[in-house]
Amino acid sequence: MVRTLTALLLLPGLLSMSGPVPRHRPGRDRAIVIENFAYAPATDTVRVGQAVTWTNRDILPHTVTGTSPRLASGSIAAGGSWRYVATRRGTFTYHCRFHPTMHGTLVVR
Amino acid sequence: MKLHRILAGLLATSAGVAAAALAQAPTDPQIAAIVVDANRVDIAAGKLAVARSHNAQVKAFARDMIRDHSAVNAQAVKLVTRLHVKPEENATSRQLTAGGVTNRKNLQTKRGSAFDHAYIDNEVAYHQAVLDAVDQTLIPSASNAELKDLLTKTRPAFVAHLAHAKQVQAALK
Repeated sequence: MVRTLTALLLLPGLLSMSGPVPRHRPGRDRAIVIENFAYAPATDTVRVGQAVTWTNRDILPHTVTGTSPRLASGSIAAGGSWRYVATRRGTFTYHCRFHPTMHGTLVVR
Repeated sequence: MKLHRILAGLLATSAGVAAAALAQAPTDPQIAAIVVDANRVDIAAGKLAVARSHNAQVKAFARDMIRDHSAVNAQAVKLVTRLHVKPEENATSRQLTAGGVTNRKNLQTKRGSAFDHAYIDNEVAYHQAVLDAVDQTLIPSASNAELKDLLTKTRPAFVAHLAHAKQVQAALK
């Protein structure tokens, strides 16, 4: 009986350990790399209040230009980066203003 | 010979100029000259398009080409200067320059939609040909690791430019 109760008490803990782990810890910056004329990851999910930093590893400038007016980096020089704090829930697509074939999506939950 | 065939195709497509043979794989100084001249050709065509086109998409594309190819050239010149590699003119680089002149002369005879189509069609052919040359000859032939690295890092720009040119080409139809 004691064993059964112990097992039941431990079960939620076990479940939480083996269940889905949150993808991102709140408060930690998410890093998106711009390389080979692509955003990596192309789609990322963050929480409201979380910061995202795009780092340009290409030899040419790029931008992060989104459907939200705040999601507008201006030119990010080669080797440079741009930080953005997500303040509103939603799914925001963005692209590079200089290279329209580059697309990304930021999901804010 | 591969480079000769590729660039002959480019020049025949974009400017109608026959190319002479490049008997052997280019050296680093020759590659440097080819890179610099290839960029200059597209910058000059872009400047002409900015000045003559009335199509917003075409002008935006041309501005992108001027910005990117100028930046690549600045980096190429900086690198070869540091490496003490003096760009060496060769049959291919001279043909690129001559092809660019012929292309611009052809463009100057056109107006409006005819100009836009001719400019973008040439941009598609040019970027495909240069991309093939980069893949098949320039990167494999480069002996200096930093020059090879610059060519490798420049490659995605040609891929993106080609895709962008095709987008504009499709929109013009």
